[in-house]
Amino acid sequence: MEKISKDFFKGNEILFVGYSSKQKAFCSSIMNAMTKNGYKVYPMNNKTKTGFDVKVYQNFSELPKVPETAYVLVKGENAREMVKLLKENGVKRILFQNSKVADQDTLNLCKEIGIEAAVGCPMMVFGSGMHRLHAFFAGVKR
Amino acid sequence: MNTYPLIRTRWSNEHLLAVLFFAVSLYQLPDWVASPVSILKYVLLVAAALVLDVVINYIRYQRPVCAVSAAVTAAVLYPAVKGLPGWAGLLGIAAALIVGKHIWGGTGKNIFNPAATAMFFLSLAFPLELRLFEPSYWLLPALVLSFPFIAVRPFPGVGLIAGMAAALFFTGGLNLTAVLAYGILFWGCVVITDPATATDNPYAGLLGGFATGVVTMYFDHSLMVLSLAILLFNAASFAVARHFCSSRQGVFEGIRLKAPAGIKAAAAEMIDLTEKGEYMETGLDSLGPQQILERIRRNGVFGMGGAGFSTADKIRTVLQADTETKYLIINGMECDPGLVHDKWLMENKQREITIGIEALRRCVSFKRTCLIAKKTEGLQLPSFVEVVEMPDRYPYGAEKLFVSKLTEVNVPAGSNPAQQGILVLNVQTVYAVYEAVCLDKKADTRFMTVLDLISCSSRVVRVKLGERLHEIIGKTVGDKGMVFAGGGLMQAHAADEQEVVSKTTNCLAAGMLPRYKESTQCIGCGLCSRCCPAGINVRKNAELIDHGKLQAAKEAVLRCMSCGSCSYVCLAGRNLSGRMLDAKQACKSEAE
Ligand code: SF4
Ligand code: SF4
Repeated sequence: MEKISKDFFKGNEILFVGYSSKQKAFCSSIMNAMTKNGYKVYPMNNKTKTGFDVKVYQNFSELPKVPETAYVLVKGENAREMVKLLKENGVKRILFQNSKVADQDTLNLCKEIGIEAAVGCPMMVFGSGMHRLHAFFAGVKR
Repeated sequence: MNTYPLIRTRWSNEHLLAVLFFAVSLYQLPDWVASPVSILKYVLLVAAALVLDVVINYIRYQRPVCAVSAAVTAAVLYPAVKGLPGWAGLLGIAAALIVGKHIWGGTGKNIFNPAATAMFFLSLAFPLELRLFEPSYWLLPALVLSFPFIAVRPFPGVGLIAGMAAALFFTGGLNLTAVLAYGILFWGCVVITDPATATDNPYAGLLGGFATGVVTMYFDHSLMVLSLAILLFNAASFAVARHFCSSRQGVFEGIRLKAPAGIKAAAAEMIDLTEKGEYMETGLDSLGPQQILERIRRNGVFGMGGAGFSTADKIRTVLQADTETKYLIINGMECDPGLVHDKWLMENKQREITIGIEALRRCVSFKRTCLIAKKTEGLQLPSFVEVVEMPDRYPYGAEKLFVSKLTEVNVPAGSNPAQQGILVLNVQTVYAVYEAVCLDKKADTRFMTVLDLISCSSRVVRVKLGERLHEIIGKTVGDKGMVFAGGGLMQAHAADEQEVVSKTTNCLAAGMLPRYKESTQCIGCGLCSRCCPAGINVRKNAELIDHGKLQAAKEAVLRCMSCGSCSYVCLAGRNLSGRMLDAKQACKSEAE
């Protein structure tokens, strides 16, 4: 598994899987940081329809296009199914927020089906201030 | 998708409480100077409070929540427990946070002041004196810093200070040493002013605060009496809020909004993205009132201030209104802090606007014609147009607010100004009237403000209805950030890729998502209700909506003008206006 860096996010589009209205502040800060860095972000949540401050897509058929890179913030128990779904829809690289989202089994699955996977908070790459410090200690190249 | 203001206050409850914690901590300065070791005891008590609060909040919300309010509680409680054994201090913290706060539902939901609750319980077991502070010049920083907090609930604060001082005066004990030793400013500025537990009703606050102060100082200088009196005052405040709710008194004077610098100064050049056609100007003299009205109808002129209603229908309603006096009010207020296009029109299209007004006056015989604006300098309109300058406050451009100020007419609920013989039109609509009548031009274009919230600049752009919003952004400010659209900076939503310019799109912005952190820590500051032009108890109704009690909130929800002020000021970062709008739409679709 590779360490994340800006190179991981090839292209200029990211699929944000698990954009949640319950973790509004966190999700919107990630969305803002990615957007600020010039990426077009497609937030997705297949459970909730309302309560969002941005257009959130419910499924792959709704998406205008499926980006090659996905950032995944779902519950650990749903991660494996999500990986399979992402693969089916043409996603090539997945960044998982942390090891609670993606355990070793999920990472092995990614390897088996040919998905490049990484684990880490995207704010280390896109954020500023304290996030830079976090990135420094985690050895993340920005 | 939610609607929200794209700008909001920089302050939050956490900021406010952190400053308060610092101010209250400074009351220990005399002790710390005399014995630096005492700092340790203070730190331990605050740490215990933080840990307990974090744990309880984690159990309640399943995630970490800022515990600065617990630190404030510990700081307020400390003077009472500093002379007691450590375990008594910890007991006090437990009583304050569990009995005083969390059994009621957590921060902002408690009826009783947590520190006063703990003081009362502790004073049952220990004889606690009211002389908690060492009179010293070292108290000066604390006094200075805590004084501004009286503004949170000024009436109970002033009442308590006056009550304590009056009782001391009549018992012959009023002097500076007593004021400092009894902590009169401490109780009056930072304890009784707790917004969650003190009424914002001026009379009840003043009277309750005064009684609390007098009872304590006149009858018994003990902490037990003071804490009990504060708790009784808290109970009375709760009863007042329930039965005689009055979140705002007097006339609403709007709020001052801070837009990002640079936005108000629009680029002088207007960007025209429409196709120019060839039009011949027809003089008004060759047209009769019926022909004018017919041209307005045929060319589909609509309200360009945000409502999008048919202007011809509005004029007809005014003509049919059973009123002796008819008014024409032209709204050039543009009170939303992000809009600049009406100002541009008034500066650059005065001739056309004047002809538009003249055309309207030929359809209806108005007794009075007014134009309202924030700045009237440089406006050269004919003498029959009364130019009225209004304060630069929000939402002064809302019909309901200025109609009653300009005319003596009170528009009853369920009616509208047109039904009362008052024709209110936006400046841009008057310009469209000119084009429809004199140029026989369809109202299929509009002026709008396009904002670049990243580099803080604005442009006036003329666009065709139906043009894709993302394309306009690309052509004017360039693709950057997210795209938002709506009535202005205060009422916007994230625009969909395919969304197009509609009759109600006044503003387009490229920028980042505003940070609505939707904190659970509402401290009950009441700012949302105080800033509501419709006089709604916003906090209470937002809570009803959150709990799915739509029927109970219906009356308030239908009165909401969707101005966004409550979301702008909310210190807990809650998008209250978004909730109200969602609920309004739900109520309306229920009725259909
Ligand atoms: S409740 Fe409605 S009218 Fe009142 S401040 Fe909020 S948005 Fe404006
Ligand atoms: S909801 Fe109202 S009372 Fe609560 S923090 Fe926000 S503005 Fe203050």
